[in-house]
Amino acid sequence: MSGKNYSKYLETLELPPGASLSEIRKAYQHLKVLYSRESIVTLPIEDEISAEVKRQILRQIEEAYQGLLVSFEKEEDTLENEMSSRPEMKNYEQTSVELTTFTGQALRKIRERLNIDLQDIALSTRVQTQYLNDIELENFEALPPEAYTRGFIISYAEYLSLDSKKVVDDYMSRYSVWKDEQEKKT
Amino acid sequence: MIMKAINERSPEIWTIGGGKGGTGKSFVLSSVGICLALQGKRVILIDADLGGANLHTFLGINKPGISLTNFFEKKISLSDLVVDSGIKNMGLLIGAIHSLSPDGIKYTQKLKLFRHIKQLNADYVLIDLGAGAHFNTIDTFLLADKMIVVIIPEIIAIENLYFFLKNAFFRQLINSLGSHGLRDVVQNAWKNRAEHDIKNFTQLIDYLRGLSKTMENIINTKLSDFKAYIILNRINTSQEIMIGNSVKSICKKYFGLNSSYVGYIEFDPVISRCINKRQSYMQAYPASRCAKEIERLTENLLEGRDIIQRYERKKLQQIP
Repeated sequence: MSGKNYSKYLETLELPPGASLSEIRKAYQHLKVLYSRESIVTLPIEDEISAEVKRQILRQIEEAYQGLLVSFEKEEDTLENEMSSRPEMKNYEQTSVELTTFTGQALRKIRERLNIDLQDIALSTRVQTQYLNDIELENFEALPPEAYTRGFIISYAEYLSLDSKKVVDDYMSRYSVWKDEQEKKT
Repeated sequence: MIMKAINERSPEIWTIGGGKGGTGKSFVLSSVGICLALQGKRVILIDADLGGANLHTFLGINKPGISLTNFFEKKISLSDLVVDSGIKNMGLLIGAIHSLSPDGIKYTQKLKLFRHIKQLNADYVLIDLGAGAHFNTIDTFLLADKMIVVIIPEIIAIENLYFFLKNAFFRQLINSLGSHGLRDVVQNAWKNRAEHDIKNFTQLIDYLRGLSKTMENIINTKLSDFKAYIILNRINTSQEIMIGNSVKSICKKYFGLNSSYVGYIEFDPVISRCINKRQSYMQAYPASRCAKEIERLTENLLEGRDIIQRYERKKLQQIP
C-alpha cells in the first residue's frame, strides 16, 4: 500500500499502519457517527467545539476514507490482473450489494474475502466461535433458540458491515423452513 | 556508585487517576499490580489517596500500622514502610491515614517523596491517587512514567476525565514554561481571556501558539510528549467497548492530547462482593472474564499499545 497521503489518512482514522479494508471501514463508520451525533462522549464538550470545527473534522474523516478506498482499489486492480483465474475475487463492495441470499456459505466467503477470523468476530460480538461456525455451516440444530440465533446473526452481519436486516431475514427464512420440518417430525 | 546505578534500575512509576470518584481506580490498580506480581515482577503499590486510603481492603489485609506519615514526620526510610501485601513479589505502602491533612504535603516534600520512590527496590511502583483534579493530585499524576486514567461509561466520569486531562496538560505546560522564564504566560492569557476572545482549551492553545516561535515549539513538544492510558471499567454491553475508542478520538481531535485505549473491564457483581468480603478478586476468580480482561490490559500497558492493535497482531500471527 502506498500513496502520498496514505499515512496521513490512516492517522485521521486513528488506525495503525497496514490496517485492513474492514478495519478502515469500521473506523470510518465509528468516527462518522461519533462526530455527527450526540453521545455521552461528546455532550460534555458541546460548548467547547464550534460547529465549524466539527464539520471540518467530518470532512477530514470523509476525505481520508475516500482516499484510502482509492488506494485499496488500485491495489485490488493489480491483484485482479494477477489472479484473473479467480473470478470470485471481485470487488467486495459489488459482491455484497448484489447478493440477496446470504447462506452460511456466502457469509463465510465474504468474511474470508475480508480477511477476518471468527475469533475476531467472537471477541467483538461476544458470540462464541462455535456458534459463529455453526451459523456459517447452517448447522441449525446446534444453534441456540431462535431469538438468540437471530441476535447472533445480526451481530455477525454488522461486524462484516453488511445490511444486517437483509442478512437476517434471508438467513432466518431457511431456519424457519428447517424448524417447521422439525415440528412436523415430532 | 556507577556500578550500583547500572545494576539497580529505578522502578517504572505508574499513576492512576481520572477525576471522578468511584470509577474503580483502586480496584484496577490493585488488580493490575497483582497481574504484574504474578508475572514475577517486583511491585510496590502506594496508596496516595490521602483523603481515604483503602487499598489494603482490596488486597484483603488489615490496615497497616505504619504509613507515609512516618516518612514525613519521623524520617523513616521509605523502604522500611513497605508492608507485606499478602501477595508474593508485591509490597504495599499506605498513604497518610491520620495526622496528615489531605492537602498537607508541600511541593518540596512531594519532590523528596518522589526521589525516594525512584530509589525503591522494585520493578514497578503503582500509585493510587484519590479522586479529583486538585493540583496536588495532578502534580503526582504527572511525575509518572505512565499516566493511567480509569473511566466508566457514564457522562459525568467522561466529563471529569476531559477536565482532568486538560488540567494535567496545562499544569505540565506551566511547569515547563517556568523553566523558560515564561511561567505566567498561561495564567495571564487566561486572566485576560475576554480580551483575546478565548473561550476554551483549544482557543487558549491556539492563542499561546501564536505568541512566539518559542511558545509554539514548547507547546508542540509538550503535546506530543503527553500521553494518557485509558481504561474503561464496568461496561455493561459489548457496544460500550467502543466508548474507549471514542474518548481517545475526542482527546486527540478536539484537544490534541494523545492517549492509548489499553482495555476494558466488564461489569461483574462478584467484584463488589469480593471487595466487601475483603477478598482479592484476581486471586479468588483468576479464570473469570474480568480477570482475563485485566490481564490483557496489563499486557497492553506494559507494551504501551492499544487494545485493537493487539487483536490485529493476534490475527496476523494466525495467518501462516
